[in-house]
Amino acid sequence: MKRVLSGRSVDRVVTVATVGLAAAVVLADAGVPHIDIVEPFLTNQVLIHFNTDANRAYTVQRCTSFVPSSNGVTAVWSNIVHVPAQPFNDHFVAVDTNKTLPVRFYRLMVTPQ
Amino acid sequence: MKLRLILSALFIAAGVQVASTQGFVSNLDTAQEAHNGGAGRTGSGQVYLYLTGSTLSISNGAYSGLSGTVTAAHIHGPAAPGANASVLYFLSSPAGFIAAGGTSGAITGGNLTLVDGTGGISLANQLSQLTSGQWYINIHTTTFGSGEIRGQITLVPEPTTAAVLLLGAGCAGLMLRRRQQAN
Repeated sequence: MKRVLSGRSVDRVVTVATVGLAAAVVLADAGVPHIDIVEPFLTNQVLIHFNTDANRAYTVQRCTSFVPSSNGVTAVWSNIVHVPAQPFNDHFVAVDTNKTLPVRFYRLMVTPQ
Repeated sequence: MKLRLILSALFIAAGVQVASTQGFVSNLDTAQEAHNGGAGRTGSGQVYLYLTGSTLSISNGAYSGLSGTVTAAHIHGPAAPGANASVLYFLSSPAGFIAAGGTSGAITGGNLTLVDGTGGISLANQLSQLTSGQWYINIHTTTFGSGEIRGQITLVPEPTTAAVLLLGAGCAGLMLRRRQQAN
């Protein structure tokens, strides 16, 4: 798990890479943004499971490529799903329906920290 | 007289034995998801569960009419109706009681062992939460990632347990009354 601080609007980011879609069943500690499971679903779809804390909004992003840049390599991220803040803890299961990508990377952004 | 005493003791013992298994039901519907917002939820379901010691047996059940395909199903807690909580136990993969991939289906029976410390909750507190209706079953779908149908798990009094206990108590009472009359 990689934890990155990135800008003011996005305080905590967790990145999970999926190569071959190996799944691990590990529930997160409370308060730490964490993708619990990444698993294949139906035909070439992917499920991303994560817990959500009260009063925090979550966005799941997907990266399909890394491009060379002056800083070395830059990843291009796109939003899959946004989960608005709720007044209680919960669990969310997001679906990535992009069926054409053999390798995908996912990250979970949390606002506020 | 001794025979009656033995019979009463046996009936009460049998009642206590039956009472060590508690029955539960979870009636899943969209109304219990209302506090999560978002229109368009459809479907319903029902699951029966039995608790013996720390083993929660998923007896049978079914769900149908969902607007999206099932992605996951869990037992969440602790939370009262109208509030949510984190996942405690999986009912879908890898547990396998509820299969992902359909809008309706049967719930496969099997045993789920409650583990001390799950969700940071002691086993004693888990049992207390379960029997006091603070756990719920949630079925997540492709259209509702936070859950499309939900059912609070509620304790069902066993009619046979109550009947056996009543019979045992009745025999004991009758025996006492006759003894008093004889005196």
